[in-house]
Amino acid sequence: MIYKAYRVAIAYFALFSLLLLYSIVALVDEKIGFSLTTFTEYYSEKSIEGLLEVAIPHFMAIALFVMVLSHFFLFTSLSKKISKAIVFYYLITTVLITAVFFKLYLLKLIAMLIFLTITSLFALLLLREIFKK
Amino acid sequence: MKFTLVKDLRQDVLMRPILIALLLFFIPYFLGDIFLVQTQFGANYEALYKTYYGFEEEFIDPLSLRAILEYTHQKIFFVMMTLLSLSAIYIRLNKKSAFMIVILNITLLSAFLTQLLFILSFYYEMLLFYYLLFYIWHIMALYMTLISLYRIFR
Repeated sequence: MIYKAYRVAIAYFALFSLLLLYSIVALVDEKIGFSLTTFTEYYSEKSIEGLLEVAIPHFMAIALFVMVLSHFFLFTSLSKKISKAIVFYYLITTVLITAVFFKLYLLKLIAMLIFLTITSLFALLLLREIFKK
Repeated sequence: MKFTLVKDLRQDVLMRPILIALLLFFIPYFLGDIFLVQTQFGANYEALYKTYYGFEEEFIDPLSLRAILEYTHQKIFFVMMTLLSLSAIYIRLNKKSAFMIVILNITLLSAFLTQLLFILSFYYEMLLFYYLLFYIWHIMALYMTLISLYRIFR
């Protein structure tokens, strides 16, 4: 049982995570579009320097975000189940960031959709678990 | 998050300076963020409104949805990480009470709504609420930081 105040902080973190996911979906929809054609068009125009400028900060940010979100499950009964999913989660994140450098745009699109799904599931599960008695 | 397990943070030789340094870094972040937003969008509500929605007479173009989303995307990440760390320190250092829960809720809820309203203001006229909640969460976060520093030094 974690103290009530920690539950509040973790619950808001989960809510912020959902808001972050919404901003990602809206931004990708606005800038690129969720289709292979638009992905290919958008990324094939980018130089390596342009890709690196976006990818490098995302390496740190996504790794930190995934670590923080996942580690809250230590306070829940789902920690063993989540531990199996974490390796896959990090793998998908790596593919998500690096696929464009190998011009694997379909893979990036699939990785993005999987990443968004897993993150939203984790955030919702965390909200449910945090308020369990 | 080792400091959640250490018994008395004020006595711990390593955790004390680490937390002091982190809290001292938070102060210019929260103060600087206010000045940064004032520089980017305007110092008062009227200037913010003109920057956000545009103003033909002064040849100011409205912000595009793309610009709003890119700005908010970064902000959400930094705010959530900063406030999570600050909340954990605040909870650890202060007396467990209903007042603490209220402070946490006000700060975190207003910070959350600020980010949400900045995006929603593109579709609905909610910029005034964004403007008010922006200052509320910054002031509350500064309060949490200063009170935590006071508890460490006491």
